[in-house]
Amino acid sequence: MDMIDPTFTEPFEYSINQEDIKLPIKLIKEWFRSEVYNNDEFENQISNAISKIRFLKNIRCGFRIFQSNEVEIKKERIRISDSEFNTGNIITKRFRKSDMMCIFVATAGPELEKESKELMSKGEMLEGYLLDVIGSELAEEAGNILEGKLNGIVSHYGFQTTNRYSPGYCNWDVSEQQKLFRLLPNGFCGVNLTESSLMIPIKSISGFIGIGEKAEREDYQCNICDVEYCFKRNKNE
Amino acid sequence: MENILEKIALCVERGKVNKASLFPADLKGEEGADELTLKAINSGIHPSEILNAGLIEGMRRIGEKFRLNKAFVPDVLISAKAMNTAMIHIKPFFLSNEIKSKGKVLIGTVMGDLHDIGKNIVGMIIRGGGWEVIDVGVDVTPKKFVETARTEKPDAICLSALLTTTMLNMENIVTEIKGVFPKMPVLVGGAPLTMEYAKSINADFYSPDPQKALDFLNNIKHTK
Repeated sequence: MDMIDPTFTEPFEYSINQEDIKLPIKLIKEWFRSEVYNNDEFENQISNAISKIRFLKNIRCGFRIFQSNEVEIKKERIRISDSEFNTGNIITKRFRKSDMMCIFVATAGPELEKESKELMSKGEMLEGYLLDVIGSELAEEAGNILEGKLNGIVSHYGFQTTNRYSPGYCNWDVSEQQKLFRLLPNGFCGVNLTESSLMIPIKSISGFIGIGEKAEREDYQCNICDVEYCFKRNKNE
Repeated sequence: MENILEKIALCVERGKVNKASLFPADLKGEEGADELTLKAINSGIHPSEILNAGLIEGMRRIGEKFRLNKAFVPDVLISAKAMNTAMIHIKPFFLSNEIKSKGKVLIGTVMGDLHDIGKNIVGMIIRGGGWEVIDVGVDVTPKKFVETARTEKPDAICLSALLTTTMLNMENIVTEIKGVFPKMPVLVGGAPLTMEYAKSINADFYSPDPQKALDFLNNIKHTK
C-alpha cells in the first residue's frame, strides 16, 4: 500500500488552538545561556512574554501530501509533481525510505515580530530579543503540532513519517523555497515568499516530511551537515 | 578615579543599567552605569575619560567575550542598554565639542533581507567603540546606501545579510557604492558570508564578528 485517501492530498490548513501550544520556560531559557539570566526575575520575565501568545490570532500550520506516483527520490534530487528539488546528498538520504511527500508551512504569525521590532527600536533590546526568540520557538512549535496532525492521519493507513527538513539547512539552498511555495496555494497559512526567498511573516517554517511504510525519524544530528553558521548547530552545541 | 571608571566598565560589561535593574542578580540594588556615569561627571572626571576608560572599555570587553563565544546575544544587548543609558549623560559633551566620536559608520541589511538582529548587534558594538552609527534599516537598496552616504558622509559602510540569496545582492551594492565613492571602505558580514566571497565582490573587509569590524574601523581611522 503506498497511497492514502485522496481527500488528504488537498492542501490542509489549520488555525492552532492556544491550548495545544507547549512552550516551556526552559526552552526559551536555552537561548539565554549566561549566568546573568539564571534567576527567578528573568524566569518571570520569560513567563510574562510567553503569556502574550494567548493574544495571537495567526498561529497556523498546513500541508499538502503528494502521493507516491507524484514523488521520485533520486540520488541528490527529489521530484514532486512537475518540480525537481536539488535537495543535495544529506537531505535526500533522509527520504530514501519515503514513498510519499508532505510539503508543509507553519507560522507564528506577524504579531510577535512586529512587537519585537518596536521594542528594539525603543531601546528595549533584551525585551525585544526575548519576543524574537519566542517567535522562533513558536514557529517550531507550530511545526511540531503540524507533525502531530500529519502523523494522526498517515498512521491510520499504516505509514510513518521522517523528520521535517527545510530549504536553507544541510546544504539545501534557500532559493528552492520558490519551487516549494509554487506547489501550495497563494498565501497558504498567511505566509508569502519574497523574491529573495524570505518568508513573511519571518517567524515561519516550511519544508518536506517524508511518508512511507518504512519512513524513519532520526535524532537531529548536526554531524550529518557541514554548515558551520547554522543556528540549530549553535543552539545544539 | 580609576575605581569609578572601572566600576562603570564593569557595569557596561555585565549589563547593569541602573540601580533599579534586576540583572545581573549579584549586583541587584547597587548603582549601575547610569548613576555611576553621572557621579563621575559630577566629580570632575573629563567626559572623554569616562567614555574611553569606562563605557568603551566595558563594551570592548563584552565584544571580546562575544567573539570568543564566552558571551551571547542577550549579554551584548543588555551591555548596549547600559552603555546607551549612560551615554545620555555624555551626549551634551559631544554637542559642545568637548569630546568627539571616532567617526561615522553607515550600517544596513541589504535589499531583499529583513533580518536585523545581527546588524543591530554590530551597530551596538561599533557605537560602543566610540563611533557614530547611522542605521539605515533593513531591505536597503543600493540607491539608498549611496544617497545616505552622500548626505551623511560616513567613514565606512557596513552591509549585513543573513541568507545565501540576499548575500548575492551585496555585490551590486558594493559596486554602486564604489562607483560613487571609490575609496569608501565597505565591510560585509552575516552568517553565510566568507572571506573569499567578500573578496570576490570587491568588499574591503569581511568580519566574522562585531569586534573584528570595530578593530578594522579603528585601524582605518589610525591610518587615515
